[in-house]
Amino acid sequence: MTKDTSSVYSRIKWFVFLYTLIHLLTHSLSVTAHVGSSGVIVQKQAGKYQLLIQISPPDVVPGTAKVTVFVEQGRVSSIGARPIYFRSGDKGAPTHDVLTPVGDNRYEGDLWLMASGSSSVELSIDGPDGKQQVVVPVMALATALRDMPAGTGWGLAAMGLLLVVMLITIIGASNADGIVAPDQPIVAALRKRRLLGMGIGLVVLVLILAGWRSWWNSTSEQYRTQQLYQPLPIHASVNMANGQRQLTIQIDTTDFRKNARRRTLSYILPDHGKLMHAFLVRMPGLDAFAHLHPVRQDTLHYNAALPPLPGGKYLLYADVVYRSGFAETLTDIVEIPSLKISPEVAANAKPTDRDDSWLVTEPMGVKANAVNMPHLDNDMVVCGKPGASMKLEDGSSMLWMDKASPVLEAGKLYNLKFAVADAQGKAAPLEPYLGMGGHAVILRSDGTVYIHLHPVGTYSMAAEGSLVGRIADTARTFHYPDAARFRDSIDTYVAKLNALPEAEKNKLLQTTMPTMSHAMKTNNMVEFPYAFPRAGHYRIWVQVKRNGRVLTGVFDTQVNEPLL
Amino acid sequence: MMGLLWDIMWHMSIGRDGLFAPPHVVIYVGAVVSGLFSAYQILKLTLTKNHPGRAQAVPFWGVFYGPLGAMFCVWGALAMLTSAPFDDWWHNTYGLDVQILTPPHTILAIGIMTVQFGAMVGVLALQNQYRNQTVSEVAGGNRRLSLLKWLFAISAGLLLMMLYTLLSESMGMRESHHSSYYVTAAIIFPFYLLAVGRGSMLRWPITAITAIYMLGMLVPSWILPYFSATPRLGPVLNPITHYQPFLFPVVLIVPALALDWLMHRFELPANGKRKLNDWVLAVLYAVAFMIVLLAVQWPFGGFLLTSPYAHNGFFLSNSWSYDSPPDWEYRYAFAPWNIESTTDFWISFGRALVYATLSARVGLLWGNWMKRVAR
Repeated sequence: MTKDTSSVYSRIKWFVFLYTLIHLLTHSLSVTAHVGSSGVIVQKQAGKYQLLIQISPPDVVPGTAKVTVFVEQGRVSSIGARPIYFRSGDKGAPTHDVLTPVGDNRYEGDLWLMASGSSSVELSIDGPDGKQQVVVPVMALATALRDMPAGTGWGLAAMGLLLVVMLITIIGASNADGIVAPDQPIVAALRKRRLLGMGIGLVVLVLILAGWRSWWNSTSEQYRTQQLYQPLPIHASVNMANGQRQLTIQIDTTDFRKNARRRTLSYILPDHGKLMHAFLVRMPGLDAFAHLHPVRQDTLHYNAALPPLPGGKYLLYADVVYRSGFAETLTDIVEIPSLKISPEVAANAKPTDRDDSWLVTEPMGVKANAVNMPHLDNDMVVCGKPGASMKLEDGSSMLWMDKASPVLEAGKLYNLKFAVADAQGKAAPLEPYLGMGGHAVILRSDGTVYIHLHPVGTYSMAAEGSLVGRIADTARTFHYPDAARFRDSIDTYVAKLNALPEAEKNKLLQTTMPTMSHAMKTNNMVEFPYAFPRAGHYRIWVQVKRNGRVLTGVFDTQVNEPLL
Repeated sequence: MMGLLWDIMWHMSIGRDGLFAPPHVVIYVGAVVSGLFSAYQILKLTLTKNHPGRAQAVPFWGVFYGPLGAMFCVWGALAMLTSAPFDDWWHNTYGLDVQILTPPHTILAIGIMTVQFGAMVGVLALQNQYRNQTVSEVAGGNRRLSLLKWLFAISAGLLLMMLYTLLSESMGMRESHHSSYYVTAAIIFPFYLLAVGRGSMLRWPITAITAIYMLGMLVPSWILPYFSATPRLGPVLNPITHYQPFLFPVVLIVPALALDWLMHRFELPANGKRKLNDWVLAVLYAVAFMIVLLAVQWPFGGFLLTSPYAHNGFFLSNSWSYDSPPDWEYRYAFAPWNIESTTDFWISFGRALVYATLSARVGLLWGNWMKRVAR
């Protein structure tokens, strides 16, 4: 083998090797804690300040979260931010980073999140209107699976090739020319020595590179199986009991044995007084919807009586919050059998939880000129701006106010405003539903983006309560209480809450939620801050309560990629 | 090398750094200086026809001419350069790494080590010109030779510091009662120490080189803790105010003394006896090295970890990074996973002796090469 053929061989080997490297990570998944809606959007009143906060956590941990604060009211001179982790609490948090003002009362900054799991960002607002602190729960999780960009890949491959060829040449020279005394001529007999050196060098190098590559593979595999967020699997099923359909959600823990990241299932917290908020939406038209609150049977089983929904295939989204403030959405697809029952029986069917609600309406994509039907485009103008309206069950109407344009933009922050007017067109006062001014569920037509949000933002209030409590606690390391006793106390609390009269229940719920400083500016209106993560067709269910009845408004909208 | 040690202590104490953090700049400057200087040397030899230096250089691809050491330096600097975009991609894909060894970091480390090795080879070529002649033949030769001998020892000591830094995650005081510590030592140290021992022309080469390594590791760790540092990343489990020192290195100087003594005894026999075969020497050196290492590190590792007399700025056992809980139950004790049964330990230690022998044999072979480097 001559010098030339040897480098050609090494070149081929190197290309094959790099090709495999570059295409190692070809599987692409999109999983986040909130089924396609990563990040937190929070609207909050803190003292005299009204803030709209957007936090985009990193998709790999450790990594940087992007923090943006819009000051809607109040005079601010500086905003500091620092990450506080649930495990290490306030005492374990680093010093504040100062956010940079970027005009229009907007402040921005990058914040390092070093530990995976439940975390929060504490904002310190200072200015003539006083000092205030706000805590925003954030999930720090690896959700990204990346390929190497072709440019980087080829650049590195070229450098790698150069390095290999150079190294083999240097090894060859070391074994031959390098040991010839400076004043001696370099003779042809050295060629054999040089080739021997290069051959041995090549073999050693290939072995080293092979080992190095398997190391990379195993790191990548470890990332995929241990670091990457894997939703907690559940199995939902429907069976008959006492002439009624029962939904059972079973949590699957078979992976717990091999996966390091286990859920603390005994430490689930109630959010708005419920351990689980489950939403059922019928595929493909998203025409049937239910918001249920399954009851815990044991750590792994939750069930709920089904309301009179039509049979079919349903998407199930169930939100839970753990003691650490970690919130996640469990998803499954469930086949609900059709049930032939008389209207009387249907009317008498009792839900498991008195706060369960449901609605059957038109499927998505109904023509734009159909009055009082949900559809994709605007059918009216509210105060000079495009909007949409929808007749509610009790004869009142819900209006989508201030819609920026008929088609919305992905990634842009919107305040989705909905007002309720009675049959006469007058503002209809609203009552709290589960202690909140309103609830909204936003779903992309294919079910890949889901969010359950409230007027305060896209995060869980139970998570916030948990983190605020943790920050007040000065212990450097959190120690969990006894699991069985904790579970029992939570069950007792939830049962007590459910037995209370509505007004007292709301009062109790509102005192336990840390964020009820959020003012309901107009008592017939609810607002939800949200940024649609991707383009597509979305359906929005807005739930409010009026005269003791939960009313659900349905709106469809189209979201396009932003026009840059 | 100093940049790297500073960087490690920076990560233990402050946590956050940027691309242009001061320790990084020190590392880059080292790479750039040696890379550029060597590249300049090579290009000058290549571009200047009839350059007198060409007769002493190594031809490369039929185009380039340069000293062997300069070629290693350029290669190392290029490898360091390559690791930067790779490392950046790595952080974006798997998250910022919190350990020393990752695939992109190894490329960086190999680059740094190759630059250091290039420096060694450069000195070797000059030093070896004196190997087979009496120094007094050249004017001022004595001074020049001793300078070259010490320059080689310093460059070998710096490379040893780098090697140990890479191994430090599995060769700290906590692991000193586990066989894996001795297995790692068996694979790396005999190979390196015997190679540089043969390559050097000093009277006590291995002792000198390990002394340089120990001082090089210790002096920054003794000085830097006098400077203040505040953790900038959470969780801050240990609220520190000053730099945390790195660690007390393996006390290689004691087994090094033994090796030097054995080399004197068996490689330069005074009574005119024939030199022993390298395989026999490898067994002898390896077993002696491993036994002395065990005899030193076992009690010393225990002292560092468990004795209150080690918790000071000299023995450095007071060092505790900002993200470690200060009340950790094994802070001053051997954790169960770092202890094994006596039988298991001796079986693995026996295996380590075999590795040490092979490592020593390769080291002697490599040392022979070092003796012959001429360009």
